[in-house]
Amino acid sequence: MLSPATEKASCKPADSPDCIRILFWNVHKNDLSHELSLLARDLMIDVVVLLEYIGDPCSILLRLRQCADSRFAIPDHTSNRFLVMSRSSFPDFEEVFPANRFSFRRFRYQDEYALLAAFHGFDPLNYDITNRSALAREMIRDLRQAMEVNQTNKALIIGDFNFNPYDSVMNEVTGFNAMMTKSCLANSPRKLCGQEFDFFYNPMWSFLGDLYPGSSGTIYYKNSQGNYGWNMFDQVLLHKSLAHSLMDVQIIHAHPAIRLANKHGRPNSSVSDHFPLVVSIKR
Amino acid sequence: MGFFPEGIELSSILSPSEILEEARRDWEVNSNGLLLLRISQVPIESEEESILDVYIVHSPSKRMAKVLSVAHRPNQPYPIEIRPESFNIPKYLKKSYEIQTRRSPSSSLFFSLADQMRAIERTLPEVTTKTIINEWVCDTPAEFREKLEKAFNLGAIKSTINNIIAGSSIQDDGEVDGSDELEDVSEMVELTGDAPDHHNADQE
Repeated sequence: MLSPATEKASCKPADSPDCIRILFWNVHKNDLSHELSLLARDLMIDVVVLLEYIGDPCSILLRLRQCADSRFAIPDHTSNRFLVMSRSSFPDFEEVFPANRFSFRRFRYQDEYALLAAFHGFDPLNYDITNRSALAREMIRDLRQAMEVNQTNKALIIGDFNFNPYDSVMNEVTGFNAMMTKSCLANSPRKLCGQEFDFFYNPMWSFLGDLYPGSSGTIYYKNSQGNYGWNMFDQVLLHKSLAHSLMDVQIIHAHPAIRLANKHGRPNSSVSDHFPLVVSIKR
Repeated sequence: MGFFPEGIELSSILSPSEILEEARRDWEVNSNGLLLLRISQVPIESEEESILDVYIVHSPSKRMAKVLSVAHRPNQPYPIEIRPESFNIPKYLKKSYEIQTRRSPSSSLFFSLADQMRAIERTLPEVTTKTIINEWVCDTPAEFREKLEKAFNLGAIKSTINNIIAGSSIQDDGEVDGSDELEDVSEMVELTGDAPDHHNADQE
């Protein structure tokens, strides 16, 4: 379903009532409730996950209800790094595992529960690779525990990882254990110390580079850690059990009413230094 | 005093896993099955550290939180360190906390550059050796048992229990921001008295 050649350039979602659309956006401490509402309305978003938001969550919700869908609500939660708003019926997307840099949400998916993990990795400017990787490992470890407790292997992770798909912890067995293609998931799970680790699928690999139209990353940033310019810090990973439910992933870099990109096609930092990410999975 | 070391009770020597299993049963009985401890061995990644993560699970709702980890050398269960989660509780919700500050010399009192240099030299802090006490290191099973009880009685863990049962915001875990993105915090001068872990660097 994912076709970078055709999908990268467009911000129009596949028009199917049979999918759940999740929008993740690091809004860079700007009040983007208006822009968010437009995106939610035009892209038919079901779940919004905001990071680095400012302002009263109720005001953001109100705007979303007025402009996009009056069913939007804020599910129960105890941590507040992420603002999650869903138009699915209660109690979907309630927080079942709060932590400082991540939050696990549970939702009904087909005939069972699934988990949505929102993650904010340590940034490369202020944290060294050891600490950044340790946080990532801690997060995935806790997610695997939450999957066992909730008796599901259906999980997706979305967020500002502050890692690129090619960074080692994204692929390490005790890290995200994420593979580049769906066919790689067919292999037996990796084992370490007698323990099996299921694979995750990382569709963000498909967006790297400039051979296809569209954005080559979600944030443009050159720093001492490397000079790639484009970074794919905002990512979504799907547990192998959900990989074939993926319908679409989009980096939203254009909208008729929002100047998401500057003249170079990079994120317009007066809006946000990150592009939004939209993920669609089969209902 | 004899030659045999004090504090070694041969009859009560248990491994950390066995003591945690005892804690798990204790929680299950005392909460009537409402709150369960879940103990998970982290795959060994280094030759220096073997870690057990401890979670509490509210069994009806399946809401859960990690409350502490314990770390020791692989194949050598003692000494062992308990690492309670900090939960990033803001200072106004802490019963006590410490701030370390550094006093800068004021140059306005001095006249010549030489005077200022001499005065600055006098006011520079002397290099001293500071003994760091790690209150969560346990050398024996008895100590581990005692400090594990203490850890489970930390205010942060009690708050977490209330939060996962209530299921909605009781404890504000601090700033919303996560605003560290592309900002340099290396010049922060205020240091908290929290246990050193990577979460504490998150007080942007």
